[in-house]
Amino acid sequence: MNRLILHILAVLLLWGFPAFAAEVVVVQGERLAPFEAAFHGFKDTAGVRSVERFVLSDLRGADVVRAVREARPRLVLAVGRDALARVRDIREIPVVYVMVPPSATADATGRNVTGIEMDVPAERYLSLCGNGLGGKRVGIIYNPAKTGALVQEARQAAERLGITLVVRRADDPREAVRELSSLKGKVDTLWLLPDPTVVTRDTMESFALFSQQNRVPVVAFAAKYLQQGAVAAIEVDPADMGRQAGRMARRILDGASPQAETPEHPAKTRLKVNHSVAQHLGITLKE
Amino acid sequence: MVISALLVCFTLLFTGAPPLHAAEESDSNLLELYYEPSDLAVSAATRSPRPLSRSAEDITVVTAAEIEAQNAHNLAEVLNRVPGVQVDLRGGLVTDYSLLGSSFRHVLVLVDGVSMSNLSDNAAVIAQIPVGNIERIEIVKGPASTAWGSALGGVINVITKSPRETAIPGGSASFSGGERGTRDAQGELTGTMGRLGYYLSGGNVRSDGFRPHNASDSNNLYAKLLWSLRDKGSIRFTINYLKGAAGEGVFPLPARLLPILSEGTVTSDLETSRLTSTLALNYHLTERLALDLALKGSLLDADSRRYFLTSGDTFQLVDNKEEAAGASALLTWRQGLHTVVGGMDFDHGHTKTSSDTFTLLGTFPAPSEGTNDKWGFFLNDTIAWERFTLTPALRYDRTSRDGEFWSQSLGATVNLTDRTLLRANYARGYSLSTINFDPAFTNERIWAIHAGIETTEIPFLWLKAGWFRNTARDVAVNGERLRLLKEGFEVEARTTPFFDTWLSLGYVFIDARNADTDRRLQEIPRQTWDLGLHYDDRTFRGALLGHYIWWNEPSTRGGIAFNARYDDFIWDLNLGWKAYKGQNAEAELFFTGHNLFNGRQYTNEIFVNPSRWFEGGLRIKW
Repeated sequence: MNRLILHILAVLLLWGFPAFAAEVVVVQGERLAPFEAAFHGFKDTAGVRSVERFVLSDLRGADVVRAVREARPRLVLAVGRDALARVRDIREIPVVYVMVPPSATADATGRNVTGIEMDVPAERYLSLCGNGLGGKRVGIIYNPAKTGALVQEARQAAERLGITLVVRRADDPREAVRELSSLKGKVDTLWLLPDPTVVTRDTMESFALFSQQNRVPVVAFAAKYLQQGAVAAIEVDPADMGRQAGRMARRILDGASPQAETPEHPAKTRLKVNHSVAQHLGITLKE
Repeated sequence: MVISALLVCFTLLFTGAPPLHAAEESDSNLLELYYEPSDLAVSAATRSPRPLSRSAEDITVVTAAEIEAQNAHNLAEVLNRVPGVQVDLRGGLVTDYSLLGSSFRHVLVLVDGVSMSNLSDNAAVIAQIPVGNIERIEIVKGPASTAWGSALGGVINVITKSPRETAIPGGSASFSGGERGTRDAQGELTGTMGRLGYYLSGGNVRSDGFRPHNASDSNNLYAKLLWSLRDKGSIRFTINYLKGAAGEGVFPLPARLLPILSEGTVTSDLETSRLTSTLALNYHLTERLALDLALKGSLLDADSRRYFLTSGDTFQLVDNKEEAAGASALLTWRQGLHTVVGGMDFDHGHTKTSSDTFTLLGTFPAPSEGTNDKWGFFLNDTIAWERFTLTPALRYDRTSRDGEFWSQSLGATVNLTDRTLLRANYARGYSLSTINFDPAFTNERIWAIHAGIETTEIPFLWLKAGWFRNTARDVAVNGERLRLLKEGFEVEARTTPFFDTWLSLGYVFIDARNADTDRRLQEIPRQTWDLGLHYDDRTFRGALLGHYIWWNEPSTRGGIAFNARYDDFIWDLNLGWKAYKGQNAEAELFFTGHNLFNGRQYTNEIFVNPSRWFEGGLRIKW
């Protein structure tokens, strides 16, 4: 048996090591369905021959950066915030991210890091609030540590659109509910941000109640909130964002500089409406 | 020390610290903002520490989060929940353990790459190893000699936590207390100053014990310093100090001794201290080539004393002192489809045991002393090509006491689909003899095959199943040297969380026989069961865990009836409530009910297991 194993090793070592290394290494946080969809979307459009995938939850703390470096890929795709946080120390290989919220990409983008933002541009939401729902006063409750960057973007977009933002800060869910009551009579629409401090199971009941009692429509960032009282949501499609990341990766692999590829917002979004809530509020919206 | 650690913790807690990103903002937490939990479910397809395409061995990984959810105090308690690891918890520091029925003598226990097993009989005091500083535990079930040398039964590899990469220190403090004076206080502090990262931990665990003369008291201190070489790698220094004392129990002496002794019952005390240290370099020589160098040292002092119960006169003293030092060098070369790893290990070990027994029985030859120098050279390749992986490996060991050993293994994996993995592994391995005591423990060798499947094809279920068969020769069993045939299978399953609730199952069956006579062997556990009902909504968590082992004990051993009883499941309940979750800190109250239904699981009535008892505590992280 020793001789057999030695022969196998010798043949392999003398093989000449054809350069079949994976062109792209994908680092993915967990095996979650939206991440899987983004990954498969990426493969559809990136046009790469070989992809090697490291799933952090499978690796359980192993040195991923080292494994990526040893794989010597031409490009790294980071799927999710945890993945981007782990590979941000890699400076010598282009990194494209997808399914990462803006709060986690603010410090990460640089000369070799770019990607697809997870959130729809603030302008798109505010246009819906201003034009579709006819409200010029839009209320936001947020935790600066979580969604401060998004609120900053919203302020600039509101100025362009002539919309008044009524902003309240909250450091915990109870404070969010208290601040919500202070918005009574001061807003025409409420815009929910993807802020885990503000949007919880309990606070959503308060938002729904506020919406019904004050006839203020709530616009959300995900369709799951339509069942919880929101009138509309602008959804993004993970598979499509994956395809968008694939196209960006293709450009980089073809010679484009990652620095020149500025981060992109999702190319495709979809408006979803809860018609019974809309009817109750006397609003007409088309999906 | 504990009080000052807690004071440090509270001071830091309220002086500002970075947000708890890891605990609060995992990917799944973030996505739950956008999707219903049922829309996220895919389930982890493997628990392997390496990518699916590379792991042919039967490996189970336990993470820091899982350890925390168990409210466990030491490594023995954690391993007791791992399917395929059989642990006989005897209270205090005394614990017997085996891996798929392979005795502790054949299992290598590593912390930071340093063996925690002693040289005299290869036993590790796993009940003394704290779990607060553990990042993950990798358990390789089956021969791992091509990677680690003497590891016929497998490896329990403990990887400690690394420094947190933030300038402001983070850490945790926990305190728990329970019946019979059981107390556990642990603290950790970690951060990075410039290029220097540090991780420090320490604590104390004590108990009055749940059997007569079974009190225990253990202290632990650990430090890891990590100097970053930026993109080139890092230099790591660790030091680990464990000290403990415990009463082992009250033991009747054999009837044949009674005519010459004034009394027939003795008590036993064990005191043990271990100091280990490592200095390691990880350096990227080129983009394709990485070098790992490590130096390691270890000191062990273990004293066992037995006294007559009534008079307090000394019956027996055994003092074991060991020194070990070693080095390893490893090159990793990644090119094309290949990851080639080659390297060498050197270990020097010296042990000296002095033993003295009550004069009427005569005196043991004392002191006994021995040295073993080991050189090991290894080479392996992992060839990953699309859905296939092949891993041939070879190792040559030369020892000053036992001569030469060749070990080889050949593993393969195939990703049948994105959700199903097949793995198969063939391995030959060995275990070195122990330096002192029984000279019969020499040249034990094994060949083993393992085949398994891991799949999430069944909706809402992660399933891992495997079959194994191995033949070990020259295995010392009760003074005989046998050819041992072991065959069996294991199943692990876990449902997808539904409303934050999931079920888990682990089952292992082992049939062990004398390969020459086909006679079924006793004293090797035949069946183990692990059942779990879990809940975790990130504020409240709970787990009802059932554990059962059919120890397969004979009615008598050496003419003595040990009156083993193991008809019952042992059910434990773990609860936790994150009472405070802030930007910079969180506090959790936790509670454990042990052996809720007063089940019996013991291999010897001297080591009868505790009845129902409770403990609770507070854990603060910042």
